[in-house]
Amino acid sequence: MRTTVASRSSSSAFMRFCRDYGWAYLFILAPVLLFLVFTLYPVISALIMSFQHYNPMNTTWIGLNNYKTLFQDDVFWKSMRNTVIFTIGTVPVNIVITFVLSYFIFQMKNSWQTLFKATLYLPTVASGVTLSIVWIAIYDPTSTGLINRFLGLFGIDPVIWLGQSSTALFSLMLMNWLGSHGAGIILYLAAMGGIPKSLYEAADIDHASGWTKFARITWPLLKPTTLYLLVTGVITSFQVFISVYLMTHGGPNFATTTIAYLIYDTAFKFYDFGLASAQSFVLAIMIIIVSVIQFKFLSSDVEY
Amino acid sequence: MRKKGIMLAAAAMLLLLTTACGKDSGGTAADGKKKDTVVVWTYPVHGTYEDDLKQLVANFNKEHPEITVQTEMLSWAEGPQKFDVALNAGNPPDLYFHGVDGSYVNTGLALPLDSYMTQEIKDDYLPGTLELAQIGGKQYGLPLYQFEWAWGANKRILEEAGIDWKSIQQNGWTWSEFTADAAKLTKKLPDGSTQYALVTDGTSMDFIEMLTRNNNMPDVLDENGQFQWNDDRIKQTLTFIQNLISKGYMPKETAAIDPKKRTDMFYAGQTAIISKSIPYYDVMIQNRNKDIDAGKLQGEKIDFVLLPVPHNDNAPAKTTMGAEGYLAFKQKKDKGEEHAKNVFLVMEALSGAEAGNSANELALPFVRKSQAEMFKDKGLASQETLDAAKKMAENMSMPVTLKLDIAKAAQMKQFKNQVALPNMQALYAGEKTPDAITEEFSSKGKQMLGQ
Repeated sequence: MRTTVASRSSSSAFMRFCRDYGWAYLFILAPVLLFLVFTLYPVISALIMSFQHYNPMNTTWIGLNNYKTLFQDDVFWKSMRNTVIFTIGTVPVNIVITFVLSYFIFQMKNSWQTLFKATLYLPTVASGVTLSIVWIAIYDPTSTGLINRFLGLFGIDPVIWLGQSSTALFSLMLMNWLGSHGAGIILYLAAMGGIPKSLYEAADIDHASGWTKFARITWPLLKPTTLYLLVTGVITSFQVFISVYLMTHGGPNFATTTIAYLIYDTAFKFYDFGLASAQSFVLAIMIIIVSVIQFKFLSSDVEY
Repeated sequence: MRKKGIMLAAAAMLLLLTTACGKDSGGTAADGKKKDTVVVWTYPVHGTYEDDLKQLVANFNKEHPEITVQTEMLSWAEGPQKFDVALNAGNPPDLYFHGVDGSYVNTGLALPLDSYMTQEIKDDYLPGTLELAQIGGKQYGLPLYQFEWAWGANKRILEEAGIDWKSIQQNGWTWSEFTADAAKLTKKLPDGSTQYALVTDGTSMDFIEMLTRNNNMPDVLDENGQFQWNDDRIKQTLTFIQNLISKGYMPKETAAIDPKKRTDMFYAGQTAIISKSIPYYDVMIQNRNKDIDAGKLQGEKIDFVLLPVPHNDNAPAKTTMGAEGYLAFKQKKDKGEEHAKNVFLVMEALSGAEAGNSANELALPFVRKSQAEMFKDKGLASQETLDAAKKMAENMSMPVTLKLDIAKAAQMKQFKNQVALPNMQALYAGEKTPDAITEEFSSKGKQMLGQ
């Protein structure tokens, strides 16, 4: 009798839970299912595949061989080196450019702010493919190329921007410097707008110089935004692919081969999906390590 | 009431999903034959191929109404990737337009066709053409045409420089003869730009492959798997290219020139010769000339000349040739023998006599007697180009991958991509010498190819 009462009460509790929270869980279910099917399942499959020699009809387990192969591969280390150079060469420079632009735009009237925000956001809206095609024309190696024509005015010989090892990676970095500030500017402007004016007024009363106000108020209060841009910037540049794929194909002589491009090459040129998965996991681990380090050393006095 | 409505909508959606994802139920046609669907992925092989394909399928369906042929026209740019993904996921289309490739066979999904080939079909193929779609002696495809790679030239520039192109078409030319002619073809134009003798692209292996074939090397490996690119022959070839660049006969920007830029330079009269051409260029350029006449395009009209690739003075001339056509595949979830037979029926219908229009449109050698007969004297290219193509076909060099062990072919592909191409780019950019590259080929060859 007591058992029946207990089971009836637990079933009514379950019904009450469903009535109160059922819809909420149903709505949460959709994104959770999407995450499980399109993110978690592929990640787990790729992890398993990284220990296999993949073949659609006859996949074999090879343990750590893919990892051994990639660590002994010169091209992998070259691509790692290129990726790190690209990241170091683009992320800090981009943050400085974005910050300086935002700082000047913030001083302007609202209407001018809108104009500059829209103009600088445009390259973010344009697809990477379109931008790459435009930059291929800009870097045209003959004297008819846009940059080479400009250099020609000063009597400088045409430069083979994308065709020689000494300039190819720099050319991709230059393209990156000049085209990816829109989102960062919006974030910085919003953060600058959120700094209380009273802080600057107090600084004025103390006769603080412009530099002191910047160093003691603006910069520290923008640190969370800077950290966010740094972390997302590093993640994005570790995965740089489109410009390499469209503009240099990783060449010349592997000068622009990045890890993301190498993964693509391994998977779709050589059909070595196992090795490509191993490369992907090494890339993912690198990104995690770098992100953790960034949070560890830069987020100590950041408030969210 | 409202809840009931929501439940009904959810049930309807579930039903729709299960129906959409469900297995094809097959069924039976009116004449009692089992219904089947054959999936074909192909490309715009020539300007009117889509229309040709519809007609071929319609003709096939008159005889086989029980077989639905589902065609998809891929773009040349994205199609190969789409196919590679499908193949490696174990779900390729039943038929795919391409040349036979060892890496396809290596997946275990390429369908050997030997058991479906009747004697009548075999006899219809011209000698040596069926072999162009075999790997290890097994038939994996039915060729639609033979492709032929050559060089293409601007007749005006050749004649202004006094080059006897008709003699070159008939007798070929050596590297020494080409170098002498290149000096005549290179000059400064009135606008200050340079007219080069030859332009190639720095992004692919085609140029070096064509030249090495003309210096007694069929490929990186020969058909017995012996490494070729590790001795004086490769050094001579690299030195030949280096000389062309250092003397200014080829642009020093070659490393950064892509195929589109190469074509642009040809159309702009900035080069006399381009390093990759097919006889179909003649038709394309004739169409471009018509567009210029009609005011749709601006630019100089060009008279096209098909030229053989020059050969080393001590080596015989070779023309890079192969075949493209339909390849058959099974899926990871094999649809059975009956389906495979139907796939072959469709394949044969898309490769038969009427399909010969592709070779005709592309001004390429026919592969079947019935095609050659049906399109006799209907060629669209100029007689000069057709004659030149025919003459060059006499020196055919078959792709070694057709004879090579599949694993060796994969190693060779890796060597080309990871060693040869980067080194070629370094040569074009003046960053490495022929000696250094030969040495690297030799050491990497030992490492990657074991010899």
